[in-house]
Amino acid sequence: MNKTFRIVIVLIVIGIAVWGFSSTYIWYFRYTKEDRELANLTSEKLVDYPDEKRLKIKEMKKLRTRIINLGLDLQGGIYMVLEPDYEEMKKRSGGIELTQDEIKDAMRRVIEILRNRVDKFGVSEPTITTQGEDRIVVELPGSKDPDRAKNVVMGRGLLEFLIVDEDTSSNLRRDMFDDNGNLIDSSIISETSMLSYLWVKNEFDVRERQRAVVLINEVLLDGSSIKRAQVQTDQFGKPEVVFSLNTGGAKKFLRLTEENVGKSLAIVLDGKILSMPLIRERIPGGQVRITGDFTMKEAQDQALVLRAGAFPVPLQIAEQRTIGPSLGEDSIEAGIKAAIIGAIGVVLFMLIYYKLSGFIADIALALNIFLLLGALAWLNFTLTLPGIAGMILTVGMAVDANVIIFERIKEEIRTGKTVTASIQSGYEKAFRTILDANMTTLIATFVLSQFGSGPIKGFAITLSIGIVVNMFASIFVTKLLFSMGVDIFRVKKLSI
Amino acid sequence: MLSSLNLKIIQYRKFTYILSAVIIFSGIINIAIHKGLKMGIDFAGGNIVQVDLLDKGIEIGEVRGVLISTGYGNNVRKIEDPVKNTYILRTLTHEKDNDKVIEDIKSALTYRFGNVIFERIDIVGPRISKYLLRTSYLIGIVALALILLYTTFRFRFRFGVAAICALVHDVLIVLSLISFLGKEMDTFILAAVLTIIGYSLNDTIVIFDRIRENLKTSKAYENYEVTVNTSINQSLSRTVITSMTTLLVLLSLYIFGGNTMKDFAFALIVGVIAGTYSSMFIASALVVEWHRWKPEKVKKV
Repeated sequence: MNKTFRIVIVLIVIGIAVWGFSSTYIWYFRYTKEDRELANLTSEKLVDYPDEKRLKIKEMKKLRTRIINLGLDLQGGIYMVLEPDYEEMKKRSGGIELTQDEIKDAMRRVIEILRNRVDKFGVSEPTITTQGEDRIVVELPGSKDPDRAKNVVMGRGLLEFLIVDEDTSSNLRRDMFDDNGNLIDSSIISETSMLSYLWVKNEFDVRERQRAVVLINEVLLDGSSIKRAQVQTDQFGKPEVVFSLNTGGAKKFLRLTEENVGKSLAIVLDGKILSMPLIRERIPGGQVRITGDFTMKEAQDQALVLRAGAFPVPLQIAEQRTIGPSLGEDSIEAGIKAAIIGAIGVVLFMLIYYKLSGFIADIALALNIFLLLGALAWLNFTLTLPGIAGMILTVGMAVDANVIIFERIKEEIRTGKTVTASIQSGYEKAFRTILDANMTTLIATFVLSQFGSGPIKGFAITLSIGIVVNMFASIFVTKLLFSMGVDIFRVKKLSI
Repeated sequence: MLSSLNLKIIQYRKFTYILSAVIIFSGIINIAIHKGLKMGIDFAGGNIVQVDLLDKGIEIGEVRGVLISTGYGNNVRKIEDPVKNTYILRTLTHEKDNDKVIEDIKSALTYRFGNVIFERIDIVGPRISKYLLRTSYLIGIVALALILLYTTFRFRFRFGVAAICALVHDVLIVLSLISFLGKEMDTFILAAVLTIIGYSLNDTIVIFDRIRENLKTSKAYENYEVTVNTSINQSLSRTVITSMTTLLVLLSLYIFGGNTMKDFAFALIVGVIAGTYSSMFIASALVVEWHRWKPEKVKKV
């Protein structure tokens, strides 16, 4: 391969990397944060915006497929693995277990419901996938309020109407409960009743148990009767959730209110009593209003959860990682700082020890990092903290190839060969060693990349790509630079 | 420069054997005393709340008191940080409703301390942690098997075995040190261990390559030990320099990389040092021992 051809190849490769990397640069530094968030929304949410804005967003979306994404541990967010709550299912179905197929089917429906909820919730780039036979993985990156997002996802959406057992409830006294708020002696609750709690927000906006209430254990109405759920404000401007029942539900509700005038209705959401209005008269319209010291956002979330429907199977969290946004930012800062300082250290070292040749190795290192970033951008890679660590490690190991080559060249020179011949045989002998050594590291990273965990995968991939790119930069490119340098400057003694 | 030194490495290999044995055995005893390695929530299951108390005046005792009041244990650790007052609260995993445990802890903390920042919440249920643990063992075995295969293919079986021994040696040293310092075993450390395997092997192969090259002449072959020793010395420059650049970078990661990466960087630093040491003193020495037991058949390459 003659020199010109080699130079062209190098330039093309650099060009492709620049193209890839520039998209990332534009995405993070040229666009505003608001624009980025808009671009992450689905098209239906954007109908309200003017046309030119929507065109811009469309362009941005195209750009987004070519950038390096930030992982959950860098931008904050939630990672959840949901699995069926087999215990709860057994309890509810009275000991009958669902078959493997029935569970798979149910989980598929769960995914649909989740997608629905998450879409309308407007989180950026949510990911919902399956894992194994019966698990669902939900990733909500960039969540500024992880708690809210979690409630939307985990809100089972189980809405139940029960009647309050006034007699037993009025018999409850404080000394019947222990320090944790649990009933000491449960025999006072008859078989037809159950104990529940009214949940009210404390001064820190966190719901806690305020009062114990006994309910008649018969679910008179549930979420399956809901036709439509919306948010309105009452005459005081407080948000409330209003839903209309379907025909069957409306009939049930009419009978419920007819038979229980004068009693309190417990509106229970996910096992928590939200409110207990007094039934003053029969209600025929099939319209129900829930007030429960909601904020606007909570009411909207609640309506959303009710609309999307309840899960067909009870779920529980098998694994969850929540990173707050502040930690994410700190991590990015720390990672970049470590990378730069480490890189400077290596660059200086090579310069001092190998002099001008060290400079060539440094160019290769810079190219290495650059190409690595470009490759990751083209892969639309999600960068995590371990991924940054992988890049940092690549920097440390990248110069290894050049060190091997340079030491060989030095040896060849000592045996008396000419500069050009030393360079040639140095590269030849070193190549096999470098290939073997890199192969083994690649084996280790390949094994790692098969490991389920996302961030570790990121580490393995960054390291692997770094090594492959390293061979191009440290061998092909530096050899070219050496040849060019020796020819142009007619070098008799190598600065190495 | 370094190549002109002629360290009698192989000749004095008994010393290095003893040094390694001491570290590894004391490590194993330490692990046995503590009934195994300390496991992080990835492998043992559990719940973690990492909270930044904005008020610098609060001490760990108060935080522990809050956790105890929730009835979920007393495992509280302070994160070493010059600026922030941050703690990690950890509980065991429950069969279900672990998110309720988190909610209880969070409301207890806000109730007591007012405005705090929850930096990180982790839940790892019992099934997931068992799965991760099982997978980890599998991965370790697969990796070692693949490496043995590759090294045997590129060199000879004895080289493969020597390389694997050096790797196992490195992993044991890293685990020993982790046990001594009471650090936890989690997926990060596992990733570090796998990386060290890759790096150490990398190092070992470079030296083996030299040995193989030097053994091509039959004269060199007759002085097997001397040839191996010379090969190590010839590679000395490269080995030391590469280790230094890698350590430089890892040191930067350890100091500047933030708390999350500290243990990871530490494991890697120990591993790189052990890896370099094992490539030079253990792997090649084992090849020599094997040769003394069963001399290599001369291959005309």
